[in-house]
Amino acid sequence: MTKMSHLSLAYSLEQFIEGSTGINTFIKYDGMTNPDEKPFISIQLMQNNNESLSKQRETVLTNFRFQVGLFANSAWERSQYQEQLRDLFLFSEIPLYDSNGVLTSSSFLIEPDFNETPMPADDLSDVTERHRMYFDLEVIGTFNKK
Amino acid sequence: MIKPIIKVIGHDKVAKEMLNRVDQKSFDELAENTMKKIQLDSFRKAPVLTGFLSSNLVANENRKRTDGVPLGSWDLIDGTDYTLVQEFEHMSKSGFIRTSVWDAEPRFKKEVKKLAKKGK
Repeated sequence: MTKMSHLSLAYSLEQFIEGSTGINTFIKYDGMTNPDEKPFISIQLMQNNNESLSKQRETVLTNFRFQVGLFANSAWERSQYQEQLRDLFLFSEIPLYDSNGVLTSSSFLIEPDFNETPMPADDLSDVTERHRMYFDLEVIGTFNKK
Repeated sequence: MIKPIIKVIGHDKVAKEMLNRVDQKSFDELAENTMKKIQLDSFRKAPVLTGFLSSNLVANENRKRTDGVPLGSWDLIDGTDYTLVQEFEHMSKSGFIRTSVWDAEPRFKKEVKKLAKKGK
């Protein structure tokens, strides 16, 4: 059983989204700027929380959290991709890569109670800012003391 | 409009089963106190330019009961137009409300369990 980590989950998500929708997808890092060509999808790593489930730290539960941004050319395109992505996140088992980028035999599911938040464009002169939305994803993993 | 909601679901049923040993008001207080904690926490984490956004987060008027639910459910109302955008896209401080909710969540669950068991 491969141990999942924040980065490996993000990479698996990236590979999975790019493979099944064909949209340019990347993991966001400090100092990077958004590409000029739309549509694209960005994956941002958010805060994780840990919780001890049993005594003496035998089992610990971790919430891995991601913010997936979708940037589209038009309102129609955004809603089309939104529907595709929602279906993927709700019903697909996503194959897990490890943090070196090697495909493993395990897979994971995304918690089904995620939010889809459309973002209004506050500056109309900035074209990249139009037609974008965010998914709040959460993956729960439990880890055992070895 | 962003609206975090904190609620204790099904405390009516639990209260009936426990022969009114569980006071519904204590669940309501717990939900409200948790929301207060979230407000204060997000106030500390929020970006400050004029202070309008952060002071709106901590204001008592923006903590309201959910419409149609008499007890045990509280909403936080953002009060500005740009809180949503800052929450998702601020360069270094995005997620100031969500992280506060995530931090409060496990403790809230534990406290609800404790209350239901003790019946206090």
